Amino acid sequence: MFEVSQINLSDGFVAGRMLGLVGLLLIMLASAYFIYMARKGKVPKIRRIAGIDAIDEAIGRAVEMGRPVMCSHGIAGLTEATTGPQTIAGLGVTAYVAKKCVDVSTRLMIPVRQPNVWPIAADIVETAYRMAGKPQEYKSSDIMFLSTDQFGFTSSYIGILMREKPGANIMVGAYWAESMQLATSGARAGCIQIAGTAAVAQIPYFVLASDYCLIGEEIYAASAYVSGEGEQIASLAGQDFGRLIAVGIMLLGALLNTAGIKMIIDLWRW
Amino acid sequence: MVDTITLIGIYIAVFLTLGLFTILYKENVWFRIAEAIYLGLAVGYGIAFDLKYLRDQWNSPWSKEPMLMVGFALAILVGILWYARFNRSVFYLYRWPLAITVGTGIGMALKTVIFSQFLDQIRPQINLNLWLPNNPWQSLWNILVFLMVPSVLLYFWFTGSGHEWAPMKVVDKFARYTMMLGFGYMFGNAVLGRYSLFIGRAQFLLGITPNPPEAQPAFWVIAAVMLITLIGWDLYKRQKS
Repeated sequence: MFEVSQINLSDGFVAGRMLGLVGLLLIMLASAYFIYMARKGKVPKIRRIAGIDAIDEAIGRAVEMGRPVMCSHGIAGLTEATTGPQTIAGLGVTAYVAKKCVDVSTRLMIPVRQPNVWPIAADIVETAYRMAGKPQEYKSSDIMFLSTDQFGFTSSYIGILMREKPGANIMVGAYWAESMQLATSGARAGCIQIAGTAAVAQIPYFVLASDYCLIGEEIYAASAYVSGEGEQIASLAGQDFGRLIAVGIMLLGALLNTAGIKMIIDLWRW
Repeated sequence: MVDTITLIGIYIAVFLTLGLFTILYKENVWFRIAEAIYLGLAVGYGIAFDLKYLRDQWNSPWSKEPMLMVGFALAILVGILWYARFNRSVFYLYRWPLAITVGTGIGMALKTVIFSQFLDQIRPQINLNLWLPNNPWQSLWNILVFLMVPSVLLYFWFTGSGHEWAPMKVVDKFARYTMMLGFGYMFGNAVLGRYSLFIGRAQFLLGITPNPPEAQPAFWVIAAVMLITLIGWDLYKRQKS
């Protein structure tokens, strides 16, 4: 929050917020540029991410075992500043998993916590079946709304893991305190597990109890990586541009500060 | 001595706690009962909460002026469009409230995210002083932070061929060690927190003050019933097979 005294009425700008505007515009312009280039056919290269490559292996294993696949996009909604993008990334992975499961005719179960995410998850899976020419195989009951209550959802997810014994349990999205229960229950149920979240406090549990883990921002890359869509990869390149700027400012700022030059620090007062 | 209603509440709480704990043994009927009660209650509570929220909203500013009433009615209409998903002929209409919700949410988030997720994260780093002659330990710590934070950021550099540059392999390795240190710390910290939760629940089951003492007999009775039925059922199934 800013104080009223910070507002300079003569020029209409708020002190200390200009840098935010410039940063936002720079990253948006970079993303727009990369998307424009991708549309012209110049798609940036994306590096390999082991956890995502393992999705095919996990589904293959479930098929061999004759067991279903469980895929969760996290427990957050779509609109929150930090968790919404994680849900969207999780839904991107869900779309890929759905396509793969339809190709090999394996049952896919999707547990849902947020009522407003349920229709999207259902749409994604139904589309995958339609695209593969198998709409009759789609079962909306496999897109399971469990509960909006965090641990109501968790207890039911654990129950399903233990009853259905899926061959693969893929969890990519925003998770909170339930991450450890879900990951350890999946391990007990004998699933091959791929888990990823950008919720920093929950990553250790996924690292510990999963076979493959997507750490932090890897989940945002996952959606672009599995879809292979040029525009999504280009958007990722825009984020990378912001990341490189941040690294540059951090290194330069600290070095200059050590030398007694406050030029970079003063930018934050702009 | 507590009244009968409270006593019933205590027995239900003990039953649900132990019922959910039985999943640690294996999936069983007690867990299923507890799970179903939990889910049913959560859904029922959620619906009641949402309806109350709607009523409270109507009772506060929205019912005061005609224009606001129209706004409220429009919001309800847009909300009803979510249910279009269940009708095959108009299912696409659910995408309107979805677009409004997501668009509004992201738009509102955007103005703060650039500060909270970007600039406010950079600020402590540029304030680092790498050379404090009177405090070498702090200098060492600052130098470590100076190297660790950018290396972890660079670890998540996904596009382009910059990541194939030889020095990046060293940066990647350093970033991995940094992250493992952080994860280790967070894991230890959270496990202690979970132990604390478990101890709190155990104190409830044992009726230790300030928990009601009636929970202890309830615990012994219900735990005995659950154990006998679970083990008995397993033995019966083993004999049968």
